[in-house]
Amino acid sequence: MIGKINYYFFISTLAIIIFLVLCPVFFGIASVISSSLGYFPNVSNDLNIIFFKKIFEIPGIKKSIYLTFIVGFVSTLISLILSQIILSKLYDTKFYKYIFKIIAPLIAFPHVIMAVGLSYLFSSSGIVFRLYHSYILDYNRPQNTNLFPDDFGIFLILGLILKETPFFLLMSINALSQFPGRDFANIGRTFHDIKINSWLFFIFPQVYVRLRVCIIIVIIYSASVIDMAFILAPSTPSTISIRIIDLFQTPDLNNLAIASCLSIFQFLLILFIIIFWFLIEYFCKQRYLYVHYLKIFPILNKFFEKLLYLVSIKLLLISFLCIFLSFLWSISKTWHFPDLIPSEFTTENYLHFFQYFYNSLFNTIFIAMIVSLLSCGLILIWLEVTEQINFKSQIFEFIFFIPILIPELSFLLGINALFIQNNLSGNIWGLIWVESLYVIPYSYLILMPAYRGINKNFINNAKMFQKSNLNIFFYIKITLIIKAIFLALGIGFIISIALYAPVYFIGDNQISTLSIEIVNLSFSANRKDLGVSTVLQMTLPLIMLLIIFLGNKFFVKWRY
Amino acid sequence: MKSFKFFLIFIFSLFLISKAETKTNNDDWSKVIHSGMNKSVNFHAWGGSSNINNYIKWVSKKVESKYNITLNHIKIKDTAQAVKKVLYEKISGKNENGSIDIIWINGENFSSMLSSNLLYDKNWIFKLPNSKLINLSESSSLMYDFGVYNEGREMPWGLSQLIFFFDSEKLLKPPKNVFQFKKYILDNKGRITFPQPPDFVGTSFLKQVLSELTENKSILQEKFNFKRHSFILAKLWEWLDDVTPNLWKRGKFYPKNYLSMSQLLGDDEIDISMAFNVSFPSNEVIKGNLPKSTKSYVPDIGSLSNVHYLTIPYNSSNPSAAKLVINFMISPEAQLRKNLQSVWGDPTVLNYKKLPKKWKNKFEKLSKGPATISFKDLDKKLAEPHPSWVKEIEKQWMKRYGTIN
Repeated sequence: MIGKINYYFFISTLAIIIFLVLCPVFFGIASVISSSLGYFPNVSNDLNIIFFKKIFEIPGIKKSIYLTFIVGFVSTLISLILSQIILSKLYDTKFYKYIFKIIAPLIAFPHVIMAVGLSYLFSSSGIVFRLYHSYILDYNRPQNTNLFPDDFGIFLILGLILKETPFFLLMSINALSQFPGRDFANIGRTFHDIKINSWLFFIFPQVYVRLRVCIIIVIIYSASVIDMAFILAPSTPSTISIRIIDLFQTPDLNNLAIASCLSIFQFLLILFIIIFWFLIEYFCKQRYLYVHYLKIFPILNKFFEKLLYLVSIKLLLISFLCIFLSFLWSISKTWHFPDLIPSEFTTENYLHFFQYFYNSLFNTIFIAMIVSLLSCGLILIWLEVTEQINFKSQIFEFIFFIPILIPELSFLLGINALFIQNNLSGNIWGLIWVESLYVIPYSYLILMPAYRGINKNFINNAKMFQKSNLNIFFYIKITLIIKAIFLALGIGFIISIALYAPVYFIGDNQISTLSIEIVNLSFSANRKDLGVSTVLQMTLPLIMLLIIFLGNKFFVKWRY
Repeated sequence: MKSFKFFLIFIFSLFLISKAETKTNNDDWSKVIHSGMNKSVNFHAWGGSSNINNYIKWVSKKVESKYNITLNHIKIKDTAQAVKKVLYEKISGKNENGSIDIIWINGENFSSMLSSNLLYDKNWIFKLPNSKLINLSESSSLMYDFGVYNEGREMPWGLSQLIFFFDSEKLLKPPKNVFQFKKYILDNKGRITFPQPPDFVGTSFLKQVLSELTENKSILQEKFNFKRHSFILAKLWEWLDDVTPNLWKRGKFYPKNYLSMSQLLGDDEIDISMAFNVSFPSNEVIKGNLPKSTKSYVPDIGSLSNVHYLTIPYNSSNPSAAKLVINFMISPEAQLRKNLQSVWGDPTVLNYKKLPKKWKNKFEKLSKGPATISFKDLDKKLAEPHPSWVKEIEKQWMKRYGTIN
């Protein structure tokens, strides 16, 4: 079918794409391993495993380990449970159709917004205490409580739940569309009158199987999150991610070696959490336990069903309140304790912000646009070329997921030296390269099914008219999957603006984006600028969702 | 007689050489100007304060019109990051064309750059024409960065002093020494805190307490020796042991830096805040972040003071351009503007006696902001302990109080 030269050309294209995806990950990990052994070229060449011992000498490291473990495990578990309860309540009701519309923006908002919102709510001069003071206590000084951030990472867990529950909801809805869930529900209903039970026994197992990869991703994310932990985690001591960054920041090679060891340790710890999760799954699935479930759940249900449902509704309210508070702070001029609303409003904060942070705003938008275009383009090329040479191994394509399945610190920590050597550190194109690694898997997830699902009759017809492959690609395939392309571009954009760690390590202080500024501003407690930046950080995804929606409406002429 | 003749010739030749040297000095400078023009300079400086950032923006406009130099202010969160970058460049073998040309630096970061040979030539600071206006003799305190002789590898840029500030309507009599401070904390539980070490201001507060608790202060200028000096630190830990459980949030959570601590003062969550920038409280009052009744003070015995510097890394891509910029930054024009309350309020490093008359008058006319401390109070200064103490204090604090949860 295709010439030999063409074949080599295609193969080398694929090789280049693989290189682009794997090179930073590979060199990053190699560099982390070599520096964990104390190997720094030109400075010290001795290999040493003493640094692995030293991580256990870091003061308070045990607490950090427990904290990371609890946060990673508990937040994933609770989010999963809550998402299933919401679904079991709403499934088969007329609200089911609207769930997607309500949670889509919530998913599109970057995680850090929830963190900022929670700090507006619960900090000792936050809204909750303002309410308490103005209605219960006649005392206009903030009280000395250490409610927020708490010692056990509860607020970090809460913040993660606010973001992960909608994610699980969305993924479950997606899973539900893959099997005849309604029939199962009806079967369930013939046995039980309580919805949640039939959900648990007939539908949940089916959904769960399809959620496994999402669970792994969520565990990795929650146990290695950086930006949220900066704002919500306790600081004496903090989670392992933050400890690594603290060590990494000092200009001392020994500390760098220890930080590398700690990031390897974090990787192992996350692996342990995942294994632990699946062990628990294994035990819960034992058949002899089912009888007990049948006895226990109806009793538990009466107590918990309503309670948990209320909790999840409250969580939804909290997230909207968080968003509203950011907006309120962004337009406030003076808002002293214990006033419940600002005493003076102004739009000056925005002008001030644009004056000082226009660079970050511009970077955020520019990088996100290039990254989403680039990853979408790469995946399209990949799909077209693999089709040409008839190579469709989904197992092999798993390499696209490697960057998001490895805790980000494990290779970002090591990329630094490589990038400094090649003048890519603090370089916008270097950053775009690394950010693309985080977007490519999602572009692939969206585009692959659409592209490979194209009705072959269209292609064959075009071929009969002697159209070239290029012609077919641009005029037929692209038009047919334009909807998916819009979605992939939008999702790529949304993911890119939320990224923190790549900008932190590759941007190297020279390139700043909104997500970096938000963490910096929350450190300096400048609530007005912080409010503006969070509002902008929320507006960008919303604009993107709107563009996808309108794009679909105006550009998609095909209905198939 | 012969020897006398030789002696004369010797003296004469010395004179000639020195004459020639001053001449080459001038030539050198014109060479520096020549090679430094039209380049770009990457200035890594802490970017956490909009006043300072605006001042640096002004400097960059000035050097652009003067020498056509593009000055990029790279706003870093922590100076250690810039130091680390140079270190990384050394590891990756990038000994020329480094990405950093000037770093705003002092203390521990400088001494760590000095010890790992990351700095530009020795004594380069004396070659800048404007260095004549600064007292850079070997005995001058400007030459000792936290007690470490700087080998002429960093140029003094400004002076800072630890100041405390409070709302004078709510707190009538602020504690003026560590013993009153302790009593105040025990009486008013949860109303005092400090930024979490290793934050610069937080560690400085610990050093301030240590200096006040130590009777023989000269001992703090020695290099830290665990055997000989741990009994001195023990006093600090004893003080903190009593105080920590009564701090804000029971000493389990600390503000990240002095900016967030000042926000806490503005929210009336705490009673006293501190900063290393004399005009900071006034500027915050003007912005509306602190109440108008804010006042600042230093403890009776005086407070920690230090010099902050500008330095050039060994692998800077444009050292000449960097020198031109630094020379401008220590010019009377730039230093006067830096000293203005409305701009930054950072005291000048220029020597009043060495200034031309025209500039003397201008410096005399400088006015102060509402919450700024008087010059008389600012005279009360304590020397910084040797940098080796800092590491020990930070490590021990982390062990004792940073992981108590």
